[in-house]
Amino acid sequence: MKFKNLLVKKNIYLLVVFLWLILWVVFLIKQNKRGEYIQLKFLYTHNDAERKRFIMGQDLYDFVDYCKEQIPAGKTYKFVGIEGLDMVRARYMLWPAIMDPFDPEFVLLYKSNEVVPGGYGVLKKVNDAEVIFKKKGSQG
Amino acid sequence: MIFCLGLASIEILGMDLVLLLGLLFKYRYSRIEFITFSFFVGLGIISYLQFIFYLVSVRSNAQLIAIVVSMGLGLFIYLYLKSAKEIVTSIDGKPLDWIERLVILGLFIQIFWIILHILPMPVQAFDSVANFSLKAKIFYLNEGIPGNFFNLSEYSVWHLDYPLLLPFYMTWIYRFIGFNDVLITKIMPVVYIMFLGLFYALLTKFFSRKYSLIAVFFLGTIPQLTRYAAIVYADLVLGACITSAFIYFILYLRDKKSAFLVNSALLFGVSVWIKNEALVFLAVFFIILAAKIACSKERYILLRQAILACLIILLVVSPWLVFKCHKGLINSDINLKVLTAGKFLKNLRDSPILLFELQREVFNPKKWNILWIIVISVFIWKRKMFSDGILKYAVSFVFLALLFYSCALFLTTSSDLCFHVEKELTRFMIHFAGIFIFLTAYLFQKEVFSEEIND
Repeated sequence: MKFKNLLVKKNIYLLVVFLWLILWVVFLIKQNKRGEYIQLKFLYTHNDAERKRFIMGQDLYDFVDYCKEQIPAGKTYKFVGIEGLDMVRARYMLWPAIMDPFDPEFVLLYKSNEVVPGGYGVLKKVNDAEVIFKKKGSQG
Repeated sequence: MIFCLGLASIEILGMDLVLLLGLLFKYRYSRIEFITFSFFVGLGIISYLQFIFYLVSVRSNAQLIAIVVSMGLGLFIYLYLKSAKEIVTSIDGKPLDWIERLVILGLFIQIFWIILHILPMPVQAFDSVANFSLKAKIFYLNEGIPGNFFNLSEYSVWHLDYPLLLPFYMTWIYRFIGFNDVLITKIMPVVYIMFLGLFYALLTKFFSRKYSLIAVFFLGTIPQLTRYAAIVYADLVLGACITSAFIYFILYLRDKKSAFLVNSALLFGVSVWIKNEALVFLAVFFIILAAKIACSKERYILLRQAILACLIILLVVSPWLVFKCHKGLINSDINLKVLTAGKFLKNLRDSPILLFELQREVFNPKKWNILWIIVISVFIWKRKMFSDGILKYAVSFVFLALLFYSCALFLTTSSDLCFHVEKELTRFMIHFAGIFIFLTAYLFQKEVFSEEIND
């Protein structure tokens, strides 16, 4: 009886380990919905700047990179049309410029129909949908 | 290569303190335990140092780091030559059997897979960019924490109340490699490997080598854990420290050796520098320690040891916690000040969401394999053992931590509970995964392959 009991437990144990191994291998190999192997292939075949550009989205990366050249360190800005994960990535890229949604010195308009508040003039224009505005009368 | 030098400097600073503790408390570390435990202690030391530099307004630039590392190296050489033979013991020299080889191969495949995925990857996940990496970039460019950093608005930098261990870890490595947010992501597989190493070393104090390796394999191949080893989030680091601190604490409850309690206290202290959630574990640690003292016949000896542990924790956590209270830094998501009775009752009414999300996590093999099904089954099966010996303390610890954690996270949140639970639950389970695997292994150890396990 004791031996039979042990045999049952041993089989359960082996079944658990086997199931774990199968699931481990399946989820190790299976790629995610966003197609991680395609992404990996791209990342492995490009340099660091291209990798970041790919991850962030090429248009957005180029626009933020351009803004970085235009906004001096320590100056404040806000985004119009960039939200969520894109916003945190852009904010990360733009530091040491500081994000301030209330009274910024620069407004960065990206593919948005939102109207930029008065008191700001166009500083640089990449195209009609990607514009950097600067507060009128601000220094720097 | 320079990246490895950065890691080695953390190791050396950690080894200094670990060797000192070994000498003071006459404790012998296995080689794996020595290396991996030193790493987590080292993370605590570099965070502590960088924060103290900020408090005394000293720039933590490359020269200062070089001086600190040189001093650390000198101390390490002195201590190592003097005491290494007494403190660090060699590993078990028995040849590996085929199961052990298979398990180790599996773990190597898993590690290789993580490295393959993370190698070309820049920092990109939400919290990583919004919180940890941004802070690390700021600290690096400013050669330390800027003077006005804690006065910045939430829009400029998120969660100023967050403990700073992970940004400090990144900043430290940046001091060696320069600012490189593609290379920096490789710090996470290092944490993962160190976690598995320390987990293994601690398990071998309870179980045979083979059984420990199998338990490590289960931990190391949890899909969600491996995912967090490939993104720069603090949850894996917290999970590693909390799990190791917990096992050291259980070792102390079993053997009543001061060294185990000191190691546990040190890691619980370091955890407070990783995430705010660590405070929950710290509170439970104190409660269980008090309960153990109250129930013990050797009350006086245990009390002395407990006072020592409290002093260590106080020393480790006080700079950050005192500063945080002094500055009035509060969390924007979990904040008792904005909690009203109505909000509390609404969250309480919405708590079934928690159960719904919990079952979605538990029965999700894509995230957890069958871990939680195994854990729940073994806990139900072995429930009668809960009142035995150290298990009553271990299980009380876990259930109290779960209760406090649930209350703190899910009943006091100022934002929408549904949004919060969906976001937090999976991370919350990462913090507990190692502890539950250890407890499951402990409960299960005598059941199957009893002869092989105890050989």
